[in-house]
Amino acid sequence: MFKFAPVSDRIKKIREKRDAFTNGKLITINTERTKLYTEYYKQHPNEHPLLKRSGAILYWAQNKVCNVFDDDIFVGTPGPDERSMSIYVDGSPEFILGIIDERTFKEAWQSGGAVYMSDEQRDILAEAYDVWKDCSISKMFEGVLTDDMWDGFDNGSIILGKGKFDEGYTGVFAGTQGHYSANFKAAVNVGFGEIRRQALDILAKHKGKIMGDWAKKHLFYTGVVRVCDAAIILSKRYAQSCRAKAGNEVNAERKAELLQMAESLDWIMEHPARTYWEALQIHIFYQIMLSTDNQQHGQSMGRVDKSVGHLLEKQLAEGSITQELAQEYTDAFLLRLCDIIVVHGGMLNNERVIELNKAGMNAYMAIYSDMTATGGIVLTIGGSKPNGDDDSNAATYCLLQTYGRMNFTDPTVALRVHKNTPDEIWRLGIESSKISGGLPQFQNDDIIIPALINDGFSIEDAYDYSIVGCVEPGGNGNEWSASGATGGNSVWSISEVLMLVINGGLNVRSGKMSLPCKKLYEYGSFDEIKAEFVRQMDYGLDWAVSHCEMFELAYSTFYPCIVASTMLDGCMQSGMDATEGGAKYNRTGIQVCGTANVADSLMAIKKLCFDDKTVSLREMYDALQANWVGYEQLRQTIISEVPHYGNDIPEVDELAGWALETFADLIHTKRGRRGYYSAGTFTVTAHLYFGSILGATPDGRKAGEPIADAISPRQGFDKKGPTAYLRSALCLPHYKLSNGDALNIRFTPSSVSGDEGAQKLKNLIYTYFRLGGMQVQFNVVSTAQLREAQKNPLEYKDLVVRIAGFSTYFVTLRENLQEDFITRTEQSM
Amino acid sequence: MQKNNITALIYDIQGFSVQDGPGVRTTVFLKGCPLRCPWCHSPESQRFDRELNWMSIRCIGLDTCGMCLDVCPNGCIKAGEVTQNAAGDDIRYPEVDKTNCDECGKCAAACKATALYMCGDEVTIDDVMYRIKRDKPFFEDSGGGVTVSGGECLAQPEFTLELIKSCKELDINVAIDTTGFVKYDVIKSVMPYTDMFLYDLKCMDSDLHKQVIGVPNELILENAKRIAEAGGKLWIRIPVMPMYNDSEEHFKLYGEFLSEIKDAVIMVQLLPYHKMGLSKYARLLTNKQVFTAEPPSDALMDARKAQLEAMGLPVRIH
Repeated sequence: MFKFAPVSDRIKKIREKRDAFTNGKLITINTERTKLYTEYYKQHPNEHPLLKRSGAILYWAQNKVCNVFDDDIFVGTPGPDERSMSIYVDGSPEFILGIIDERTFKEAWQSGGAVYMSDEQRDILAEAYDVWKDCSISKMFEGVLTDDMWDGFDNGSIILGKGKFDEGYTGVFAGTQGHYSANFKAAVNVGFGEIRRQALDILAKHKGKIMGDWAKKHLFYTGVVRVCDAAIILSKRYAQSCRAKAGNEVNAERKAELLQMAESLDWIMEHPARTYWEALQIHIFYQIMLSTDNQQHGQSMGRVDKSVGHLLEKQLAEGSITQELAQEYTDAFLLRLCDIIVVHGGMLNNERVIELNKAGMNAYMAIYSDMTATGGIVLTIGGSKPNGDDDSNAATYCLLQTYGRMNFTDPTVALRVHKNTPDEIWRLGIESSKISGGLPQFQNDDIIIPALINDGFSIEDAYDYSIVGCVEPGGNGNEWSASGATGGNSVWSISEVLMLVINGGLNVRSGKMSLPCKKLYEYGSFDEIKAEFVRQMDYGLDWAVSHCEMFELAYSTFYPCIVASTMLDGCMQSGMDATEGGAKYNRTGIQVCGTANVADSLMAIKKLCFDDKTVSLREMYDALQANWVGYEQLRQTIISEVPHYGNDIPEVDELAGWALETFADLIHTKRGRRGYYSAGTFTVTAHLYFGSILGATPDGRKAGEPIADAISPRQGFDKKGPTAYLRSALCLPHYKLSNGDALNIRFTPSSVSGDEGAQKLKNLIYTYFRLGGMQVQFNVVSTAQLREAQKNPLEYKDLVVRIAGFSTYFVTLRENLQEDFITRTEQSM
Repeated sequence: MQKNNITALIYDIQGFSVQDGPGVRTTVFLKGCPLRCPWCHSPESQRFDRELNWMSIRCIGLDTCGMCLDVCPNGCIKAGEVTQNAAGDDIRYPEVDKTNCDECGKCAAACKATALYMCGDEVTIDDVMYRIKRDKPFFEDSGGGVTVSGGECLAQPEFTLELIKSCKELDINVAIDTTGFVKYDVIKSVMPYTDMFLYDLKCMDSDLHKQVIGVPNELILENAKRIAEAGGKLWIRIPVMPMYNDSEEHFKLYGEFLSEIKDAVIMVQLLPYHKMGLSKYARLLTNKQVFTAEPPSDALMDARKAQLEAMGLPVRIH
C-alpha cells in the first residue's frame, strides 16, 4: 500500500522543536511590529499614507531583531522570537482593552498558559491603543460612511450588520481586506533591485516636473523605492546575523552552511534567485513583509512550484542539489511558513485565554479555532499550459510529498488538475488529502480557465491563474482580486433574501425594511415569487456593493497596500497602488451560502402550495411565523415528501441552479471603482452565523438552525450517495462562479482505504470535473471517530479536518461547528 | 412484451458502490431471496413483497402526531407508554404488533415522518435506467458498471434480463450478483449480457448448508461449474462466518473447488462477517432469532487469504 517516505532527521528535529513550542507553552506574542509601526506613526503624523505605509515597513526592516536560530535551514520570523503570534492594531484596536485589563492580565498571559506576554509587551499594546484608536481602519471607514449609508445595515441586504461576524470578531470591519496572490514569481525572478531601478528612473524623469495627475504617482514611486530598500535591507541584515552565528559555531559543516546562507542572503531580494534555496527564501521574506504591512486575510503565494521549479530542475540536472536535499528544503520551507502566525485581535481577550488555559488545551491551537494560523496563506501547484500539456515540475512533486508526510493544517495548498494531469500527481494528491484532512484541495483547470477568460483575463494569464484565500481563482501576481470582498460583506446569505420575499420585504430580525413587497400569502403564482426573489436580491446586492465600495475608498485613501503593489503587475506601469486599481486585473468577489435552503424552500412552496395545492400559502406563512410549532406534521411532510437538493432530482436541482445563476448574473453586472464583481459560493463558517439569525424557512428548517454551506446540500439531506450528490452539484453554473466554489464531501475511512480506494476517489473527482465541476475538497473520517474526538479531545488533538477554505484541528472547533461538520452526510462507497 | 410492462420490486439503488465488483458501480438491489442466511445483513431483501418497517428515530411522537393510531384495519397499532428518544426527550411511540399485519401500508401512508414506511418499490426498466444513465460517466472513467443484486436478482429473471439488455445497449459493463440457487436455464439466458457473475459460495458442506441456510449447495456448485465451462467469468464472494466456514479445513475445500474452475475465477472476495445489519432486524419488527458472533480477526482473514493465494487464486478482503 502507498506510503509517504519519512522526513529526514534534521526536519524531524525542527518539527519536534516546533511542536514543543506549541505544546510546551513557549509561544510568545509578537509586539515588535506594533511597537515599530506605532513609533513611526507617532514620528510622522503628517506623511501622506503612501509614504507612511512605505516608511513604516522600511523603519521596521531597519530596526527589527533579525535572529537566526539553531537548525534554521531558512531564516526569517515576523518577530524576534522563533515562534510567536503577531497581533495587529491597525484594524480595530479596541480589543487591546480586553488584554491590558490589570485584573486578569497575569492569569491569562503569565500563569503557565500556552502563550506568553510580558509586562513590557502589555505596555506596548497600551501605548499603541492610544495612537491607533483614532486612526484605525474601522475609524477611517466610519469616516467615509455618510448617514444614509447606515440605513443599509440589517435591512436584510447588508447582512453582517454592524460588524459582528461571529463572536470571534469585534469592532467594525477589522481585517477584511486582502485576498489576492502577491507577485512572488517577480520577487524571485526579477528582484527588488530591478524594480527599485525602474522606480528611480521614473522619478528622475519627472523630477521637478510634477504636473497633471503625477503628484500621487510621484508619491507611489517614492514608496516603491522604500519598499525595495526594506526588502534588500531585511535580507542583508539576516546575512549579518548568519555570519555572526557562524562565528560562534563549532560544527564545521554547520558553520559552512551558515556562511553559504549569508552569501545568498546578501544576493537575494536585490537580485533574482540563482538556486532553489534562494527562491524559497525569497518567498519567506516577501510573505513576512506582506504580513507585516497589514493584516490581510488570504494573502496567497501564487504558483509556488512554477515560480521556483525551473531553478530546482536546473540544479538537479547539473548535480548541484540532490533529490533528498531538495525535499529537505521543501519540508523546511513549509515549516518556516508555519511560523508566520497572525491572529485576529478580536479573538483575543483575557477571559477567553484563561478559559482555554484552564481547559488544558493547547491555547495556540485553540485561539485559532475556526481559523487559520497563517491568516490564509495558500499555495497553488500543478496546472496546465495553454497547449494543454501538464505544467508541473520537480517542485510540484516535492511540495506534494511535503504535504503528504507532514500533516499540516496550514498553509493550505490547492492542486490544479486538468485532463492531462499525470497519474503520479493525482496519486500523491489523493493520498496526501486522505491523510491530512483535505490538503491539497482539487481545482479544475478545464472549468476555471474559461471562467477567467470570460472575466477578461488574457489566455496566457488565465492559464497562469492561482488560488487565492480559500478556493478563489485569481491572477497570479497580476490581480487585486479582493476575492474575499472588501469590508463586511464578503459573504452573503441568499436564504435571507427568500425571507424578505416571504415577509413583505421586512427583515423580521432587525425590524428594518428592504424593498416593500407582498407577503407569501399574497402572491398569485410561483413565477411571481421567483420574480420578487430576483428583485430583492438585486436590491440587496446593490447595498452590499455600495458598502464594499465605501470601504475600498477608505482603505485606498488611508491604507494603501504599497508592499504588495511594488511587485504586482500593472502597478509599476500605472503608478497606482493596487487599492486604487493599479494592478493589471481587478475584481471583487462576493460569495453566498444557503443555496440549498433556497432551492428546497422554493420546491416546498411550489409543490405543496401551487402544484399539489395540499397546503395554502397562508398556512405555510403561519407555520413559518410560528417556527413550526403546531405545524409539525407539515414540517415532516416537507422533509419526507418534498424533493431536496443533493439527490439528483432535476426539478429541485434546477431551482438551486437558478438561484445561484441569478446571483452570479446579477453580481457580474455590478461595477466598482476598480472593476467588476464576481460570484463565489465558499463561505468559511458563516453559514452557522447566518443560520443562527434566520427565522424558520419553508424547507422545514427551524429558526436558528444552520443553513447549508457553500454548494452543499442541507446537512444530512443528501441521501442517495456521492454520485447523486455530485450530479446535483453539476446542475449549478460553475462556469459562472469565477470567484470559486467549494464542494465538501466526507467519506468513511473504510470506503476509500487502500490503493483501490484512492483510485476510486480519483475516478470520482475526475468524472465530476469532466462533467463541469470546479472544486473538490474531501475528508476521510467517520462519524464515530468524530463523536469519540468530542468525548476525548486530548486524544484526538491531531485530528485534522477540512472545513471550508481551510483545514483545522477538529477538537479546536467551537461546538456548533463540530456539530455542523458531523451532520454533513457521511458518504460510504 | 413491452419492456415497460415489466416491473420489479427493488429495495435500493446504490450509486458509487465500490464493493460490488470492479470500478465505480451502481448496484440495483432486487427484493426477494430463496435463501435464508441467518447472518443476512439485508433482511429487508428476503421477502418478495413490500413490508412494513419502523424507525423510531424518525417518529415525532403520538402527542404531536398520532396519525397511525386509527388507520390499521387489523388493529395492530396501539399507543405505547412514555419513553425517551435518542435526544433524551420524553416521547410516546406507537406499539406495532405485526401478528395480524397484512402489509397493507395504510399506517405508512399516514406517517408523515416516515417512521413507519414500506420497504420495496415497484419500478420499471425506465425508472432504473434513468439512474444508471445519470451515473454512467462515473463508470466510464473507472472501469465500473452496473451490478444487479438482491435478494436474488435471478429470482425475478424477466426484469433482470431486460435490465441488463438495456445496459448492454449503452455498452455498460454488467455484473450479476447471485446466490447461484437458480435453474441453470435462467443463468444461461442472462449470460450473453453479463460480463461477470458475483457468485456467492457460502459453505462447501452441503448438509451444513441445508441445515443453516435451508437449502443444499449442490445446485450452486453445479451452476458455478457450468458457468465456467460456458466461458463465464466468476468473481467469487465468500462471507467468512465465525464457527461456520472460517476454519482452515473449510478453506481447503474452497480452494480445491475453486482450483477446478480456476480459469473462470477472476477474483475471490472474502467478506468478513460484520454486525452492521443487526439494526435492520429491529426495523422489520420481527422477533426472529438473529445470528450474532464476533467478527473474524484481521489475522484470521489474512491467513485465509494467504491460504487461497497459495493455491494460485486471486484474493482480496472486502
